[in-house]
Amino acid sequence: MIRYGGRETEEKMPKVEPFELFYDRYERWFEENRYVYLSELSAIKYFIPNGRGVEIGVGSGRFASPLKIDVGVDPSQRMRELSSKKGIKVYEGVGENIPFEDGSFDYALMVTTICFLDDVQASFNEVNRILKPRGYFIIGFVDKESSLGKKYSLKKEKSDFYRIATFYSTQEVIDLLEKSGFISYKTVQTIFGDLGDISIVQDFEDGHGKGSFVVIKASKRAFK
Amino acid sequence: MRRDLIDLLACPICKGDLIIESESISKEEGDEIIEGRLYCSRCKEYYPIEDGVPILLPPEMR
Repeated sequence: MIRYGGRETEEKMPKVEPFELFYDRYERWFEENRYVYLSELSAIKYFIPNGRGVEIGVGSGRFASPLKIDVGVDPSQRMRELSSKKGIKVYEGVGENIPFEDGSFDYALMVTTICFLDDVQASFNEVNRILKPRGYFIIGFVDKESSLGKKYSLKKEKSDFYRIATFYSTQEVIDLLEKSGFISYKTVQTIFGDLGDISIVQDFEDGHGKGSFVVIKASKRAFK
Repeated sequence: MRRDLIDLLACPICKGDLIIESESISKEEGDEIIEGRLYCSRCKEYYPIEDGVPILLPPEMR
């Protein structure tokens, strides 16, 4: 049986350490990989609907801010300080126990967050709960089976951030979404080729399997 | 946190309604609570507001 998330014996604590210690390096990545970031943002933006949104794992607000999402949850204090400065109302919390009322949002976003969750299934259940009927869940992540996903997995132990990460394939994420009751998936992909070679905002394409960064849009059912 | 945002919040554990514990508020700026405490009337758990941010982690994760 495949277990998504941490080992049974692991203590369930939010994985905040690298974000607390290396927050300046985290921020620098976005500057040094500006067009990678903008390509990811462009693919995510394509799926963002109207209405009230929330980002779970909002981090420093690099995605929420340009997407006009003004509510976020994050367990890292350093990250919250940065996103608060961008005008986002941030709550200290985790994806597995989201502190919002049922049916509060038209859509929820998670970007490069699922790899840091202790329990992806519990988090998807929580996102389903806080969405309105027919609400949307948009997830951006590095596909484990892509060239970048394979590279990150190989170098995982050497990375202060990815050492604690668990990567997923697009199919694994879709399976988890289905178990949480989501329906009607659409995917787009971007980040083609090596990160160092990306010097323009890349056009995203439908589907997955070629691009290293995949965005999935799923819907909550209209009725239970 | 802004007072009016309390309606959006729920207890991260039992999803009960959270209320602002008025007597716990030690610092306010306009309608922003800077230091204080939220209370879950269902499971009786407390959640601090520190530096304007509600700490809504389950107690064992704090």
